[in-house]
Amino acid sequence: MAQPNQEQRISMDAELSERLEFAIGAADIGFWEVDIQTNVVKWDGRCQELFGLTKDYFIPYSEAIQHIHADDLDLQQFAHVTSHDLKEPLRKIKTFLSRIVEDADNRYSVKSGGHLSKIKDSAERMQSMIDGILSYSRINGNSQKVEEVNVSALFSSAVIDVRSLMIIRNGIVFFRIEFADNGIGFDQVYAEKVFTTFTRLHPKDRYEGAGLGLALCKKIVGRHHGWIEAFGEVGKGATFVVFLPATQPRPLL
Amino acid sequence: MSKHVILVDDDQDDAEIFSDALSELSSGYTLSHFYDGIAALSGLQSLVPADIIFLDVNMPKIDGWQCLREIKNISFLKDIPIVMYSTSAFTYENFTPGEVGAAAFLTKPDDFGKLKERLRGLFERLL
Repeated sequence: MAQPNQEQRISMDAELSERLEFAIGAADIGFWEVDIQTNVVKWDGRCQELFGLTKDYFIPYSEAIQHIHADDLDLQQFAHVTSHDLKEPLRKIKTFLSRIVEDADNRYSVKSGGHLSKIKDSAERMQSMIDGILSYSRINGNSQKVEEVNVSALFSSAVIDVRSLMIIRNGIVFFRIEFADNGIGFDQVYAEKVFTTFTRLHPKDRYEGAGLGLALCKKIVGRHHGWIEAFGEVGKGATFVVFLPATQPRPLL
Repeated sequence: MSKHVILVDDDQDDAEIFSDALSELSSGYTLSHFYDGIAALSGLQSLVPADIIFLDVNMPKIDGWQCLREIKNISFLKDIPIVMYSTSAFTYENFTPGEVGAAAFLTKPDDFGKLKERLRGLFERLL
């Protein structure tokens, strides 16, 4: 993959700087990964001088496809292993457990009953993690196509507020879609971490989940040449902002 | 009259679960179990005629799909309803039973009670 020839560093005032990374695709030719940084270097109540830096890398279509295929093969292999080799023993744990619990001839203490239900809960949790891995690895399929969907029909009742607007950055039109809930929220220091696979910020016995939901979101949005940001406040809720280019370049990443 | 049920599955535990479910459902079923498709194909030609066949998908030697095709090529076996019986629901996601010549797809349930329920439903519909 092409590397930039040189990298310039200058001191930046975080308040007055902005960084934007995105990819522009041209059908069947390739795509450009673009990184734009701008900084106000002279400020006296209004901008007097601006310094900007733009980097772009061109990735030819053939090269991009190669990478995608290699990743796909790994992931498909992985999905196969998880679906069959992991699911099968887990299914047996659950089946034989259900036979013990449902057998009216079995008598066990209240304590043992509690232990059996802990085994069941653990098996359920493992099941949901395996299903999560499967969904995650299957996002890469080349068979997936870009389609129009009615987004409002997809919103779960957990989302309390959705706002969307159109923004133009560097000549590219993006949809900015904001999803807010009033759930448990999170500390803003974890805003990046929430998108990592198997990351959970809360004890697993308090809130369900395998720690894959937001990783899935990030991957899906990334494949559509967009990006996602998270904002949270402990106990108050979370807001997720998705940016998607209004026109989808091909291919899906 | 007793119904003859065939299970082709290389997994001993699953065969045991299946057999127990069947006998708890009714005493009217006789089960023959084969560990692989090759054994099933030769057994099916010499045994008491089968009323329904359950084929595991992931098996050594020949997989369930190939076994299904072979059975459909044998004139006196081709009308026996065949249920594909796999661990993962993803196995079947790209086609319908009719498209591959099966009577139904059944994902191996992870709950014994659920298995009995599914089997009861299939027997009502197919036998």
